[in-house]
Amino acid sequence: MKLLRLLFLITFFIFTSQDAWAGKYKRIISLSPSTTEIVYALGLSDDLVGVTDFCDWPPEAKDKASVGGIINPSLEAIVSLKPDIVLLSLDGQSPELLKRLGDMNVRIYTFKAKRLKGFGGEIVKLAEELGVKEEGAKLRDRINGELEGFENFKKYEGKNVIYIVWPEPLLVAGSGTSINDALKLLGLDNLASDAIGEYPRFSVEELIRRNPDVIFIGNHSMTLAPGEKLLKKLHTLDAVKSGNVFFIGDALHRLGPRTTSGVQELIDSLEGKNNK
Amino acid sequence: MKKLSIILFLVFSLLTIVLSLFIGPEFISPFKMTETEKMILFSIRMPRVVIAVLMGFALGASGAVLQGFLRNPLADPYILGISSGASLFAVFSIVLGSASLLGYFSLPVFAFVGAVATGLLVGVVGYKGGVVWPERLLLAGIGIGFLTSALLMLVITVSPDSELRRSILWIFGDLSLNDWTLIPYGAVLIVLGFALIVTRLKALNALILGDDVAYSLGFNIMKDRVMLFIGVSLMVASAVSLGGVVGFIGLLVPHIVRFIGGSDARYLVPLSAVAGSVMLVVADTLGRTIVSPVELPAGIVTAIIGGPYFLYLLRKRTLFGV
Repeated sequence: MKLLRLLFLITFFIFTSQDAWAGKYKRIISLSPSTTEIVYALGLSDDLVGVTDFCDWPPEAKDKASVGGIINPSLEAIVSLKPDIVLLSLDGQSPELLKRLGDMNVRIYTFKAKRLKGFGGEIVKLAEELGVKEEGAKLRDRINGELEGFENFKKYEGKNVIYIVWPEPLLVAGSGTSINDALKLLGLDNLASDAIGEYPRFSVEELIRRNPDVIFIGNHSMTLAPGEKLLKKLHTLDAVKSGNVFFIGDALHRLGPRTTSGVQELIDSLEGKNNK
Repeated sequence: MKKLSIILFLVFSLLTIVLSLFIGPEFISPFKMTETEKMILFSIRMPRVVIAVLMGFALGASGAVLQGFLRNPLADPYILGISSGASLFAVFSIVLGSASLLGYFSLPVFAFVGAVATGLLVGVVGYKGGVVWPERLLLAGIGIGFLTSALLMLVITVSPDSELRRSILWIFGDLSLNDWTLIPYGAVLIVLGFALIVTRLKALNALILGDDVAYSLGFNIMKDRVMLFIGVSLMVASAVSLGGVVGFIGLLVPHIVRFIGGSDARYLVPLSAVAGSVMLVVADTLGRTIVSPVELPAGIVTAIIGGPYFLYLLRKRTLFGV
């Protein structure tokens, strides 16, 4: 009996110590590119068993099993991977999917970051849920440090900018988005901050009238033809004439370990270190 | 009296359309314009107003013709499946990325081909024994419409998210980024379609009363029906290729005109065309103005202002003597 007790204790310790040493969950599915990047940054990539078609960073993530798109992942594919936990972001959360996963007793965690301010804290919360709080705290400190560094960059303060997320119809980043936060951090004035909604459908003629100094275009959404159609309309703008139109990668959109490099990309564009 | 009110209506329509050019997020004064305002007026507002005029014209006229032709008050320009055929091909063009093949024209050309092909197919199914039968045509349109819609959903389901989004936005119709490129082609095709219809309006009046009446009045039923059908198909196909599928106008504008101006096709069809133009222009102007700098799609605004007006008229008018 004593022996049995001892055996129990030993196995218990082995398991708990393993928990402290690696993540708490052995089978993680990430349903957003953002959480996929964070899971990698926290060093838990071996426990990641499923991602979406859009999880393309780090490049190895593309080799993981896919469960479909962000908005419409396959429930069967998720369940057949037998996840211990499913990670979601606030974008593309369908209540039906949450309910079905809940019905099947799949553990769900939502990464609630939406804005630049305080998203480091959300990373720590996620890391805590995954049993690697310290790694999360390190990541947060790195991000917050870099963000603070950007605050001193005031070279282009007061420049009027617009950030286009979709060319046709014209959708731009409004106030209440992490993109707007990044622009403000660099002292840039977002010309669309008075429009209602996060990504408002913006008036082309208003864009021309407001005449931005700089146009940023999120190139994740750019298919060639419609983007050209829009730029043809905008050819008289100062930004277009002086070549201040910059394509920005998707690091800035994804709140995660690369967000600060997205902010750096904005700076590099303004400094002329980025190709147009 | 009737002539006078028609002239007044036409003058009012023309004024509304011209005035709409100057209304938007900011009012532009026609007497003193800055360079930027000139550019906004000529290369942004004018093309979208012209496209709204063309689309509204085509949809209003086609709706009025089809309601008589099919003897069905629920008929609208999309009931013959033409719009879903256009949407299917347009989405094909987006998904296949054939942009490189035809460049700028890829999407509208695909949409037009899809619309005409669907129209032809409906026409062939609806034709039997030397006559195009309205009932057969209507059911053929509904059947083929379901088929093309299903194929459309299939294409959308298997296409990646970014293309899916662009496809859906196209289907809902967007006038905000149009420029002059497509306007000449659209205008020629719509005028051609309208010309085909105008010559058959007397026949349409007779056809509404029944085939035997039309026949005994000396009309060539077969030929008149085919002409009307070709004219409508041309106009609807062009309208959809120009700016996507804008609902409501083709269905309710003819009813509104009928409530006010009577159901003589010789007046009803041209007046529905003009009323359709005015309605879409006004809706698009409101859409770009009321919540500026954000824009609302014209199709949504049309239904929101037109729906209650239609219901008001429906209550006010006497129908079938009640």
